[in-house]
Amino acid sequence: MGNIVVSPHDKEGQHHMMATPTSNNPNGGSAATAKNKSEITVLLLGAGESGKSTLFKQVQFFHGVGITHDQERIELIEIVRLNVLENAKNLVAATQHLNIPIEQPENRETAKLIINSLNTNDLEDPSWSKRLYSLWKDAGIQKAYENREKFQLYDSTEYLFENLDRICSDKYVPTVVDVIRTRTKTIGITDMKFDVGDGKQLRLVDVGGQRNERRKWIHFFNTVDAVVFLTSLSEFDLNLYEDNGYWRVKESLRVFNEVVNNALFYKVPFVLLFNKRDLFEKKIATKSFSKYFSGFNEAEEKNPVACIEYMTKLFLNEITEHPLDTVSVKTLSAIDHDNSKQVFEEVKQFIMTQQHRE
Amino acid sequence: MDVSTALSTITTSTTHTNITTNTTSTTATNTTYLAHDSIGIEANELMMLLKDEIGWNLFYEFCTKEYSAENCQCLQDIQTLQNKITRMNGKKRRESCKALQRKYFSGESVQQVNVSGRSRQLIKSIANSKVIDLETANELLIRLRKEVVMNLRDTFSRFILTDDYSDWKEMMMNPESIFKE
Repeated sequence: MGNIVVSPHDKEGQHHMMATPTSNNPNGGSAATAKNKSEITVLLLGAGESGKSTLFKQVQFFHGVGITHDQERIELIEIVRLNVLENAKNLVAATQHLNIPIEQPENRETAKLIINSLNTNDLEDPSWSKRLYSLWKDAGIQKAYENREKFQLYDSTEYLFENLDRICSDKYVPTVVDVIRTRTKTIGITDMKFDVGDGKQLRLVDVGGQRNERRKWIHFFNTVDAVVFLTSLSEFDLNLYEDNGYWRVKESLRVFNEVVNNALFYKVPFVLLFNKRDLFEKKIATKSFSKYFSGFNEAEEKNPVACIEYMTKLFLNEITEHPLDTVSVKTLSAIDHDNSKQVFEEVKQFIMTQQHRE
Repeated sequence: MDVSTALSTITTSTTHTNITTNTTSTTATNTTYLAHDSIGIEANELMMLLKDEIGWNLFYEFCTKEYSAENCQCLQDIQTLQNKITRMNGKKRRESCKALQRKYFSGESVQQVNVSGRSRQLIKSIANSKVIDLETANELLIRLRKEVVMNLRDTFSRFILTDDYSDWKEMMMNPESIFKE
């Protein structure tokens, strides 16, 4: 079993995943020999909620793996409905925390039920569609939603509430989009393989992103042939799930620094994906970007291209060891099937080209 | 560059912590799989699986392969504590909560479980208090249990696509089918 290194200077829980070797890894091998390997291992890395698993699910769908049939997606009904309930609970809790009253009496009754007794089975009853939608549209809930940077809420909240008609029905079968949009915190490590031609297979490894999950990454560090690091553009006003007082951008930069400058990755192609471009563009239309970045020109804060260029520089400045000619930077909206397909194809080509150069 | 050299060039840290996710030896026997009815957000199919000994063992094995078995172990420990806590005196209650916090929710824990910062702070603060009354302890355990079950739910979303799960489900729904073929 591998070891991790914990910096004695770290705050509680802020472990680094610097160390590497896993002596018992059955797939052990050196990245330097990747050109000759029949299997190319690509790690999807990044802090929590950066979109690794969303991209992973998209790649599964491109390749007909995973939940491609109705029968398989039926198994996920409960998870989609749990997302609805969690979002509803978090919003109701936020109104209390932020001292924003839920305006309509019937919505206050619904809120009580959500907090105290509602479960996923109840959502088979179509009447819950109307009740939950009415709650969602309540001025108090909407005000809390406008302040969502102050508490933890899934990106898919609006989507789920806008699709309650389908979700709260005894005939509900989750669509592919529902599955993509459903947020589940990834725990542990999972992988998939698919053919990429020339008798080679690509093994894509998805991991959890929170601090404790990052300790597990090292199990794959010495078998890696390429790293795809995701960071969320839209997290600039958010704090961590696992540490409420810690800015997500700072965490992402720190994790990126540790990964990209890890000696085991010097020779592997490295892709930096700025994800959630769609959400980011919506967010900067109403929120100040420059408020969070003192070095950024306020006059440009509604210009997504300028903001993304600034973020790119911030991240690239973290690279002190990795050769820059093996680093590629792209933007992504992982919830968008076509965009994911196009970007992932580019990523794949970049990795393959880099490997041929070795 | 070999691994040890790589390591030494990156960090001067000295504390090494073993990752102990592959602890299957603690699973199959003496399993205290879930006995309580599901509560609110802890919904049905996963609960059915966890309440069944065979189901639990299959799922534990899958979690181990995915490096997430710490959640199963934590759930077992929470369950055990929930069953015992009403009979514990104040001192024992405090020690047990502290032990649980150290084992799964401390930053130094080798089996650290992925829970929200708020829950981590809450258990730390309760575990460090001089007195833990029964109500506080019960509420804490319910909250932690919900979060751990949520973690297991992610693993479960992949487990349901395995043959093991299909076979288990078939066995549960049609017990007589296992004697066919």
